Amino acid sequence: MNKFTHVNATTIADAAATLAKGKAQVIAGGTDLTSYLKGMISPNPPETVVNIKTISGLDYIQPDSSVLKIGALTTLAKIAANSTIQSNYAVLAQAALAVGSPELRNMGTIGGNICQKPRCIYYRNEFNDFNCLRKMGTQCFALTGVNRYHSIFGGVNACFAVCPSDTAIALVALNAKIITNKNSAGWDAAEFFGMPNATDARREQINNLAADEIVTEIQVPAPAAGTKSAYRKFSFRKAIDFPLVSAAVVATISGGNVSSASIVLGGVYNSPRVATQAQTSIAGKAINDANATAAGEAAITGSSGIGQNDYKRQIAKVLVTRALTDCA
Amino acid sequence: MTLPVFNVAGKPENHDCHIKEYLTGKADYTGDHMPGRKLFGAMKHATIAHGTIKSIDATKALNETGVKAVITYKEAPTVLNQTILYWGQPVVGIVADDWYTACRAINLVDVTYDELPSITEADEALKPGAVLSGKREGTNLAPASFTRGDVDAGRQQADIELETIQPWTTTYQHSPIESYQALAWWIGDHLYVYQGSQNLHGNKSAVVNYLEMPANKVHCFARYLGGGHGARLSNWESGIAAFMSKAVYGLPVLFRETKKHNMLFHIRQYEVKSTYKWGAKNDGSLVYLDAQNWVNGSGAGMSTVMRTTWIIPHVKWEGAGIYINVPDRGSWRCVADPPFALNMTMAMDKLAEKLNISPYEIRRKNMMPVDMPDQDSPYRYWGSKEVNECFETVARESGYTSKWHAPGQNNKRTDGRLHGIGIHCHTDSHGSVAGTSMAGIVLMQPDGTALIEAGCTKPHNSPTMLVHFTAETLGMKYEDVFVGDWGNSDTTLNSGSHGGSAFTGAGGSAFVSAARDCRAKVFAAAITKTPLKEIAGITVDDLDAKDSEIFYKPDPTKRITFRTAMNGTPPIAGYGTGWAAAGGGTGGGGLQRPLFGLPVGTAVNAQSAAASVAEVAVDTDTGEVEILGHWNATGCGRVIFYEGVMSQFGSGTELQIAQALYYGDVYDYATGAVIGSQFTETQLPTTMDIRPSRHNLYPIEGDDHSAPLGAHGIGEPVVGSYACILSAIYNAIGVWVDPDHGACNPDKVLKALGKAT
Repeated sequence: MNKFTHVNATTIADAAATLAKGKAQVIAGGTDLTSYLKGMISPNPPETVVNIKTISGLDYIQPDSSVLKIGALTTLAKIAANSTIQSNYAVLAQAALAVGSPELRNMGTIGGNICQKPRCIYYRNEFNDFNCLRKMGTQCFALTGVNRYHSIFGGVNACFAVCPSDTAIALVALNAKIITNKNSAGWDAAEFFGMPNATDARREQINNLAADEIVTEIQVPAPAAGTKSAYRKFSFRKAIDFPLVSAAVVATISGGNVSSASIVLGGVYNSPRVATQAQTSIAGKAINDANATAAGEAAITGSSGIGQNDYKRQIAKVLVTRALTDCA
Repeated sequence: MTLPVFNVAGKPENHDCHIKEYLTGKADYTGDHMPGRKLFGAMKHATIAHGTIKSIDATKALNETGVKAVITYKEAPTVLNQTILYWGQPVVGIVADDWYTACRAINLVDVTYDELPSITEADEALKPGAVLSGKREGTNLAPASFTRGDVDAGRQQADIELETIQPWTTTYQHSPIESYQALAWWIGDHLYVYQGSQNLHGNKSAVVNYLEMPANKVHCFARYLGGGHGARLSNWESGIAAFMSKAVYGLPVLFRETKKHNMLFHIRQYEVKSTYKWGAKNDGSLVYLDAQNWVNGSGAGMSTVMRTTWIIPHVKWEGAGIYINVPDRGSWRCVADPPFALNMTMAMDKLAEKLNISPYEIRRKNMMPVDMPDQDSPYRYWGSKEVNECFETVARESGYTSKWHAPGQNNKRTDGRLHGIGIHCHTDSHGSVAGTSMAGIVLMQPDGTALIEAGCTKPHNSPTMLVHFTAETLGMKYEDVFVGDWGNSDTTLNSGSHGGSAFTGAGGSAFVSAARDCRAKVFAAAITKTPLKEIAGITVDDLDAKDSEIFYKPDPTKRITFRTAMNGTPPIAGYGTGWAAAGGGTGGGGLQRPLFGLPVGTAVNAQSAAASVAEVAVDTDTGEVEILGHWNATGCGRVIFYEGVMSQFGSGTELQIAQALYYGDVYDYATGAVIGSQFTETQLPTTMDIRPSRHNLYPIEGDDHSAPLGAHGIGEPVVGSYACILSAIYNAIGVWVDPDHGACNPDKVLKALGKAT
């Protein structure tokens, strides 16, 4: 395990000040960062770990008529079990329930789930035996090596790792805002995720947070009348696994047809992939087998396998089709 | 078959429930010893696949606070090597105050190499002019062959012929809970070593050789073990720990692998690729088999699956082990049977299809009857052969014949998925196999209870099994026989290489022998005590024992307890030793009782057998396979320790489902590195994937006449389930899935269906 100093923060400002000194990272549930430190994955590990679970007031679920507010330290288990989220934001409850295992959901937080590190098999190789692009290296080993789990929509900064977060996909589909200490208006979820530039010190992140920026709250706008949502996840195992492919659908149905649809794919790209052509395909149409299948086909427009991951295209099609059907 | 009635052995209630020791943390593993007093060792591994170490600079590591020493091939030449033959080979050991410091120092040691061309893909080794891996002199191949009859003559007799190519099976290791580790320290010139070894006394022999020491100065201990799988026959860790301790003046050092390093280079199951040319009569009778088998990472073993299950008059079996620049493969939960079982099943199913008969029918037609001797020299019979009963049991219990349908036809379920069912059976290569002789000690106590001294470790309560043997033979109650010392090379005899392969047959036989020795001595003491001594002319042959009482057979009312017999008796009277020769059986092996007209002592085969049926549903849109039901029957000879049998069943089931549908090694072929080191990468199945309630497990009892209580090892009882799951998928979708060196994950099913490339 990497050596580090553990600091219990008492306020967000306190935590941010520590982060601003550099070589520091936030820990909450610790389900991701602990294995990252234990595996000595990075050549640039944090020297200080800032515990924000000691900050009060960040663990809540507050639904009202216009927006659902979720504190960053709210556990995934609580989100999955919340009846309001289950009924009005089903895609988020289902995504939270799809994470890991009960133990991980009891510890893992929504803030941590959208701030975890990539799961690329090369990036995660312990003791940094494959010093990839994410770690100041010069190549993406997956491109010519094991790429079964990687992007089918190309690389970003030549990195083919995918966004591993279940809830990220749902939050983008729900048009959520990510509130931070430096952005009280909030990031649009769709803008929040992505890989910072390859020369950026933050290149190990799956989001664009600044080095001293901390997620404090998630805000999800209340759905329009007639809105249904669903999350579908594909992995080789029924528990523990990160999504190889996932699909989040939020569809508003009016007069029997889809008046608006937000369709987002996970596990197939560097960040949640908004399937705009699928959205267009289903817009104004009833959700039936034919239309859902057509939307599924449209969802993979522009994708291509890079060796071992062509299967993801088939799975993405099917998941979009099934998630749409769930919303019928 | 009517089986002799046991008083103790085989009764499920006779169980010490050692699970409490695991659950309460009382079980002592290697890493638990010397708390607060030991240093820790970690290992740096090579990052090239082939070459020579040019230089090692440990200056930075040794300057790190807490680092005490490093060892290289210069300090430890019998366990580390200057020549690198695969990525991940151990190169430098580091000793530090704590394990994390030792691990952090790994990347502070600079190693440079003279790199040589490497070969990391098995198929490349089969091409002319292939790069040499350096593992064998002048070649990458180790050919082997076997012939029965005349294949050319067989071709003339065949009505139907078929050539099938069976692609590479999977190679895997499933990362046991307790990573490889050993604790060593020196007192003067005596060496003490703890390792969770499956072969305590074999481990001692290896350490003696590594350190080139006299055996009387090496003291080995093997207590509890967190996952054996056959791979814990490895002794290398003990050698490393001993050299590490030597480097720090004999202080205790716990050498421990990280999870990653555990997966990096330790033994794993090898993969096999085969080509079968078959010939059969129109009635389904097999006539010849002309097979080629390539084994990646180990020798091309002569598969028992082929040799001892089916009647095939003419056989040519050729092949080669392939040695390339990847970690060696070997005995990992059954050496050869899973891959060969899969290839044989696939090939046999294809031949059945061409013959227009079902997989059940072709097996029923060609299975060797129980009273048929081996088809190859020296033409031995079996002490008991249960494959036929296993096969009929799973077929009957699963309803196989009524559920089977032509592959990919008329099988759509109401949920849209496709139904499939597969069957497999084979005679296992395990049973009473023992490479060396085994021995046991039974000690009668003054209070009339007995102790066994077991030279083995204690996973799955193995000494409990020995208690069953001992209590049954002594004629004592189960609760009057205890495990005394175990896992201590100084106080025990070699009770055997612990595992499903040999331990029951050989270790059990040794303790039956020891118990008989002990019993004879106690009986000799008993006839000197009242009331037996009043019986005129009484001899020990007139006595028997049951429920811890010794009685006069002509008049059972004349009896005394073991306690009375031992009262005032010199301790030596209650000391029994026994041994079992290599190959099983008491004191020389062979039949213990006449069989098929053969006299006692005749050499026979002692092997397990298994049959499986799997029923699946396949989602052809996603490639996902769900096991709807699984039936496995395994031949045990007599069941001695019921819980142990069922434990082996359960873990075997999980293993085979994993091998079929979930996990496999992840190789980076550019480097030859095993890069899947975490459970999320190796895809170890979870309980949600296994669904234990769907598995139906049947221990099939026989009476192995080569073993004193009729028991043989059950080996790896469910290895055929790997094959029948893949057969069931074929039955569902009508096309065989290529395992492609790994499990049949959904992406491979989609490829087979033409829905992915």
